[in-house]
Amino acid sequence: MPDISVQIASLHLKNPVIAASGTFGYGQEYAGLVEDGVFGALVTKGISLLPAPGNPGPRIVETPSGMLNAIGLQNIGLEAFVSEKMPLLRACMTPVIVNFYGTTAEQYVELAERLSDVEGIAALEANISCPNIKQGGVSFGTDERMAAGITERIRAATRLPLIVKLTPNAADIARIARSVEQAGADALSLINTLTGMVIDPETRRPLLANITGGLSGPAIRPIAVRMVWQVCRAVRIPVIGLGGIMSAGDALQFLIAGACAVQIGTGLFVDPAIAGRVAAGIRQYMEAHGFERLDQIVGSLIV
Amino acid sequence: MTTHHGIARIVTTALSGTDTVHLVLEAPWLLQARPGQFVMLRVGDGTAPLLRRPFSLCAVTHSGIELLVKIRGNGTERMARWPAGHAVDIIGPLGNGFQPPPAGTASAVLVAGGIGLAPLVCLARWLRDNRPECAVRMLLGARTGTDCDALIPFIPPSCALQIATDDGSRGTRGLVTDLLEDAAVLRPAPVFYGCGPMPMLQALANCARRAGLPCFVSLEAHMACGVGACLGCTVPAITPRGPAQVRVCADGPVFDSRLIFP
Repeated sequence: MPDISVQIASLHLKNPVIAASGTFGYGQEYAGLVEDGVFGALVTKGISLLPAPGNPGPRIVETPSGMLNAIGLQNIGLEAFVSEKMPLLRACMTPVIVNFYGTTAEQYVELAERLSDVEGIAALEANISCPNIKQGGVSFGTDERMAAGITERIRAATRLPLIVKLTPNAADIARIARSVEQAGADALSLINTLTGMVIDPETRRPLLANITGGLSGPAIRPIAVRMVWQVCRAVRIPVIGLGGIMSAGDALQFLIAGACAVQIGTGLFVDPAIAGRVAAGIRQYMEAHGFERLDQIVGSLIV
Repeated sequence: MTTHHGIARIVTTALSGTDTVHLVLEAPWLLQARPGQFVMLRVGDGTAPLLRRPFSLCAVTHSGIELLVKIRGNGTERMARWPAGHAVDIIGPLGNGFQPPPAGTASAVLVAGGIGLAPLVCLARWLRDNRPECAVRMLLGARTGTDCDALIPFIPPSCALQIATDDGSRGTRGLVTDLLEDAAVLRPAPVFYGCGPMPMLQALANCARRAGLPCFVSLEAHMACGVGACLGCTVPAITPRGPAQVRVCADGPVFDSRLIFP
């Protein structure tokens, strides 16, 4: 049986399929639908220092082969997360990666410090790429110097494996990736959503109250695969690929492009059983092609 | 009652009027579902439509569930053609459902706007079977008589039915909530239940507040996950802990109307 386990710094995944931030809540919402342990790891909803109310609705709209969302990073805040959600997450077999964001560098640093003291967190994922909040978020992720600066400060604040989540809404994602690598990130995850917009011609109004939102789903997959391929050629640290994965074949594209693991978000909404299906599909593919370890596939693109 | 992901089978698909579909499904794991709960179902295997669609239960039977669906786009058009035996990928039951009135409640008034009738049919059937002492009045609002005629067959005859249509071709001309001005509706003092467009629910909530009577509204929203994870379906509410965005899928879809229309 092929080995599909992955090591990312001190983070050990028994399979390379991770639940993406914002789609798996705080890990309990899918109880009864997603069996504990089928994901290699889960990434929590993005956590901020204080509770955040998020954006007014409508917050989501379906688009061709995708969806646009402008949730606005609604979350219960660090304190409630640690006291109410972490006890349940600690009881899971699945390694927990906590996604976090701030609107200033100081907030990122404080979050990283305080999360590092919490038992049961396997890694941190810094969100420097959300398109749906006015300050922080994506503005850190589109400027090479700001991305490096914030990564350096977070790096100094935590000994947990640090994954930095990159936005595709940058002029040159490979340059951002390199600067984040040099600043001390252990791994990168990409891509976050692409900024998009839908208008109802009848009312001449945007369908999202926030006007613009982040596009996810199969519609963005070819862009995500391309960006993962570009970034993997530019950095040496592990890359986690995401963007519209619906099947094992989709996940394999990211692995072949160079990602060592994948995240699934929108696909989980469509099929809660997706993690097991994708992991089994990767195994079958490896058996059929005579691969024994995942690293034999990673970056194996033939051109 | 745990939520489960499974395959249901179509027993019958029947068009009512021109754009309403009644689906009967065999789904053994949904027999304990409550009125006001909903399911998320996949319309097809592909990416168009991509996301599951939420549908309120219009009945829970001895072998499964029934849905009442308004044909609005490609997805619902496809559902209208599902043959007997067709496999449907369903997650459910989801949401909180209606809180049943206490035993001995003398009267319930159910206010439906168009296809918002679906969960109220489920509730009316439950009340008929479990609260025989409760007189149930159904107020149905629709745009036209044709729309009305497509829905009426699903209303249990145990309900006293009053109708309002925009064009006046059935019942009274005007809004369904105008029917609340009839003093007879408030005697004996009822519990109100509503499902329909937000302005209708607002008018219902206002009426209930003026009369000092309990009122529960079932909300509709675009949803992605249906289980409370994505926070895509939230609406502003005044909760006991202050103003907050509440999730229609997991905190609702049924709310005390005072939370949503303070």
